[in-house]
Amino acid sequence: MVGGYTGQILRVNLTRRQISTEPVNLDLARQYIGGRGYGAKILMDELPPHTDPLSPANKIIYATGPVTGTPVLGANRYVVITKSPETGLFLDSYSGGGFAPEMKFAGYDFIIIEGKAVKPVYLWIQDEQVEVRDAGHLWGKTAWDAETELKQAVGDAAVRVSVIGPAGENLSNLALIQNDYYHQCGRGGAGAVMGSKNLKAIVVRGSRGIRVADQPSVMSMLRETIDRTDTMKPAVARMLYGSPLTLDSTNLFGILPTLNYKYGQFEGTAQIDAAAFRKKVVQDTSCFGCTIGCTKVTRIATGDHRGEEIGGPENETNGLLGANIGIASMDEIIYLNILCDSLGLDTIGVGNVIGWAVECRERGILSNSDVDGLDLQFGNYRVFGELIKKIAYRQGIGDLLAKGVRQASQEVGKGSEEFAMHVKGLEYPAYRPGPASPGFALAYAITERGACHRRAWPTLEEQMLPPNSTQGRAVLLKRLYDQRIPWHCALTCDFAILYRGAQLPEAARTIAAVTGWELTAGEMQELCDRVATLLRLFNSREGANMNDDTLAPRSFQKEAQGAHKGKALTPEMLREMLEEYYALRGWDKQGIPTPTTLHKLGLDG
Amino acid sequence: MDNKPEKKHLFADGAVCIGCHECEIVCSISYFGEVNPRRARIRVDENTRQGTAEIIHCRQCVKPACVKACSTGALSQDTAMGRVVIDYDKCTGCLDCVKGCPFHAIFIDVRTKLPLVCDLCGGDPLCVQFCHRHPAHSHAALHFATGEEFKTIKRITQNHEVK
Repeated sequence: MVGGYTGQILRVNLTRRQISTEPVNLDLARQYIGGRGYGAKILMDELPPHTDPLSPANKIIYATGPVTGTPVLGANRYVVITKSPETGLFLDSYSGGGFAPEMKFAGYDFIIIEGKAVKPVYLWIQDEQVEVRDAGHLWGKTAWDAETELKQAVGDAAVRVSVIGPAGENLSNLALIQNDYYHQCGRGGAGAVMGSKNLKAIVVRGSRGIRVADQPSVMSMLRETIDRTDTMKPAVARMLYGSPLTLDSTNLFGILPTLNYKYGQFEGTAQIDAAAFRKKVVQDTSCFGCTIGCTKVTRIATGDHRGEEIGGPENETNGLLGANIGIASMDEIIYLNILCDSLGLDTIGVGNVIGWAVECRERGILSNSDVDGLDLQFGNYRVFGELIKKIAYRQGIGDLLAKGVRQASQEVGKGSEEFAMHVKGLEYPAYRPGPASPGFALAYAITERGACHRRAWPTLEEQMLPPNSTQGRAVLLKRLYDQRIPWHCALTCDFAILYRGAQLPEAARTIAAVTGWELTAGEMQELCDRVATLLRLFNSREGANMNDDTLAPRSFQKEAQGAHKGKALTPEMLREMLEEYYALRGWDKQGIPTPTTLHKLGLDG
Repeated sequence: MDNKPEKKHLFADGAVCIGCHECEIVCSISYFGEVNPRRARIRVDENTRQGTAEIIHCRQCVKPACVKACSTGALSQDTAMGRVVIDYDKCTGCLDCVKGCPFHAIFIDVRTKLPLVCDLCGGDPLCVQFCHRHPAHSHAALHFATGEEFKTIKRITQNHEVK
């Protein structure tokens, strides 16, 4: 057997209650490695075109990779791959914690869920013993309560649980899948797909080991990486402040979403920046196999919810449930974060729909009775708390907002689409594209799942390029995007890799040491091109085209304040960057992969 | 006799453990060639809800209860290092040692169902080598040290503050 892989795929058909295993196809594994690549290949091959994402025909693929669970720093992530109910396109959503290694200890590289159970169920996996169990008593429970109860039900506190909350059960497009309480596949409504299958959770415990091909190399790489983190300032900062470190930079650069992306700097930043966040930390904790420990447990210090704790908030939450909705208090953000996580909602999506709803009220697009009489104003966290519950349970105005900002704005109309901040239906994360960051404009436009900051992250490197210009963006974004593909296939955390060198030769070295394959940086580049083009093909099969590679209208408006006051990012600038990017990928001007490219990548079969 | 240096022991401070499980990872792979926390000779009992962890490990007892509990002579104490070693040729898998250890630090190998005892990797424990001090704390969670040395290490912690 090739190192790293367990070699097995678990397939569960909930309609027929049929459980089977099949071998991992090693030829495909060599071409797609695992995770995002191999998972996308499965979805492309198995899912009929134009499948309704919330129908039993949709599939959920839990994917790990050969590196997952090995002694490579941060090798603890899985990706859920499915067709998104929010975008109707390809969705890959990742999560850390300890679920992915446990899945491999149980003997599975992939779990494919098909069909729909008649009644609520959960999956209980102990090595080769796989059971579909009744989850009637768990339906309606919060994700946190359900995880705790499942551990009690199977009588083992060390099991790993991947679970949905009420938002997923109620098929919200903002619903996430959560594991180990504080780790989430947050985006794109993966939780709703699970809910549509009546699947509350997957519980896993494994007893098999994961072997690597070249153990001495893998161990010495681990040694090197850990040692290097001590001497690298960004690594030490990450260890202390976690992702909230980023907010200081985004505010400084003028790209922190503020009051529904109207502005790029927030006056309350000092109350929600990295230092303010650190003051709330009560525990530094870690994902499996990572010494960075960037998961932080924080505690509310004041108010009605004093003493309540959460693993978080992350940078995106501080941006979206903070600056974007006018909240300048860590305690209030933590409170809203607790509601979202326990109810199973994506904080990014929620911060967007709240911002949009507040603006609709300001402009009189929604009436007082439309919003159930709630006093919707920026900064009003108590009301936002009530709104979050309504979203999860789809009550009143919550039913509309649960659909996500694209659908909500389309239903309401009256010009509200102008400030519905999404790409392809997926809400913007905590970086505001505009003259200060044409790079993020391109990043959002090209990412298959919609507006996303996790595929290519130009925040720092873009600072070296002239602002309000398209110069160098396409080349930069392709490089950054490609840098992460091998790690998303491998599958490891894409933060931990930064501390040892994230470039393609390093990816090749790591995957080679684990699998035993001889791999070159050139092959890694081919992997990147193959995966990016495959995802493009999937989306175009589902009806997406170059016109979907765009931004919310607000992102093309003139800046009202800040360093770029009076200037605007134009649609022509975006088009220019896109055409350059398409060309670098070997796609035509419409973003369609050329026959030559398809042939070269073996995708023309 | 009086000049004999104090023996080193494996010490753990769960209060500064971030729950990364590196100790289990390196322990299991070095002995069995596979990452498998359920075959490790040290275990991290993680409370993921609170973000806390407890480390369960062999303490190299002066008078090991496990050795006393073993009726087949499979367990013995190594006088040089003070560690407990196991002779699997004599082990019957009765698991009396597991029950005998007051620290629950003898584990059952999930594959073979035989006991696992920490042997200090022959004197330079790998778990200690890979236990990384998190910058939020003054020291790492695992130490191979004398009792005096460990007391000093723990004393520093009270003055460590993250800025």
